[in-house]
Amino acid sequence: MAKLRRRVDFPMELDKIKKYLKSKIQILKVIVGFTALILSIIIFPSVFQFFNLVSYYDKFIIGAINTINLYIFALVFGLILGLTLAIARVYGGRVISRVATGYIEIIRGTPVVTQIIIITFLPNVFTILVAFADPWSMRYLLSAICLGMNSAAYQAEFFRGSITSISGGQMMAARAIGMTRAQGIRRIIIPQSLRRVIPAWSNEASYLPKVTTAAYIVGVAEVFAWAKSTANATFRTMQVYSLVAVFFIIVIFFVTWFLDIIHDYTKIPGL
Amino acid sequence: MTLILEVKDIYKSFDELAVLKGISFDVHQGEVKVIFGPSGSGKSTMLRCINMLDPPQSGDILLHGQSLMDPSANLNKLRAKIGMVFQSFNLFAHMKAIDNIALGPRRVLGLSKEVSMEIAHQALERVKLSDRAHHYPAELSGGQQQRIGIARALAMQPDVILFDEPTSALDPELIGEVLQVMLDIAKEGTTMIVVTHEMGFARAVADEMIFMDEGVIVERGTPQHFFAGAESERAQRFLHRLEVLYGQAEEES
Repeated sequence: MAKLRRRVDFPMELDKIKKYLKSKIQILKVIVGFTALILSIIIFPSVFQFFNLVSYYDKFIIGAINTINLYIFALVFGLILGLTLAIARVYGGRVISRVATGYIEIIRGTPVVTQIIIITFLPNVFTILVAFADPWSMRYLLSAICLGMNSAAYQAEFFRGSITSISGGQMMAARAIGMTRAQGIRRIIIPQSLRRVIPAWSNEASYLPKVTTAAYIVGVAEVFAWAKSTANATFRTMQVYSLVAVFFIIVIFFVTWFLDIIHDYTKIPGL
Repeated sequence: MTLILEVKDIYKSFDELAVLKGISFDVHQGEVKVIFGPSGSGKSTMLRCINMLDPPQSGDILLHGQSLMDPSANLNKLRAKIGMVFQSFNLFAHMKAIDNIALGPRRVLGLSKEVSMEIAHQALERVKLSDRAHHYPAELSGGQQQRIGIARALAMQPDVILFDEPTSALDPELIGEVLQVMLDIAKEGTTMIVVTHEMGFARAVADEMIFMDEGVIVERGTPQHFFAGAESERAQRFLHRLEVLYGQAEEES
């Protein structure tokens, strides 16, 4: 990642950037058009009734911000923990790699809703933590951590795939010039596998926003919580949930776009 | 001549398969040893044993009298004194040529950024690739990549450099440039152990040639000795096959 800062020669010239933006805008148009089509087919008779929801929009904004907070926290938390787990699984000794594998299998094998309920209602943890903050922000924080721990297990497997895809000769060459194994991992294996993992990892980055909706089970005021209460209050179920869908597709579009840019930017020349 | 490396009776097996069955030889300062033999004879395994990338089961390896098999030995420090050039180059794919070379001096020898860059530029000059400093490995030809590989080893100023079939993965027209660099550094007095089938190179600079087969040293001697006619039947047969391959002899039925 240090590499990212240092490199100043942005690999795209202006006309290339224009061309690139154009292709992205075309994709955006397709998505918007497709969304509009679906929405109009489903709710054509009441398409203007979106305006009836106006008085609920401020709460929607709060929900959207909460969702995005959960998402970014979980993604970054999962990135750090997931990378650690992957390194532990590939390079750890007998015990460490099995602990990492066990963690990954447990998390991937159980529903995220169960995990959130267990974590937020763990009585001991809760009563200790509640001394520091009110119960609702505590649930918010705990479900963010839980989502991060959940995402870490999935991300770890993407990272493991990209780490093991780096040829053994790279580590051998690092050891041959006298680097320690840790140096080899840090300076040779990780920089290469982080570049290589982006396309696969974007799967997790675009799946995770929807997983965060599980937090509504414990009462976090994210978009699904807003959707449920607003639908109950207005009976505009279709519009409410369509709006949530549109919200997600926009978020995810920008996330994958951003990852595409990083992928191009960090590409190794000649490969 | 100072003794640099001693290989003493090393044994190596992978599960049931014995690959090295008691190999011993010494390498002195400035010496070039060429090791050759049929594939599967344990040459590459032996090189990996010497710098303990693949430790042998028994025997001893001494660098300047210090054992690498000693459990308390600082292997990373000792490996920094043993250069290695690989058949498949193994350049760090995400780094420019110059950074590939400067990495060792910077991170292993702990030199400052400026000094390691300076060393890297000097090493690049020795392999005549100064104009390719800012290219990535994938932007270079095989021959250029291998020369960067040699420069990477040189930059560490090692006591001995191990070459593991450095030209075997190259197109014929690229072999020449790599061999030229190897000839140059050999003449400058670099201590080298070279696994290769390039007999022209061996004839030009080898102080001793070692013929290995099935995990043992079958015959050893000067290039003159081998090219005048090897003693052992296996070495004779192997050299003859190489000559046929390179068109220096007629095939006899």
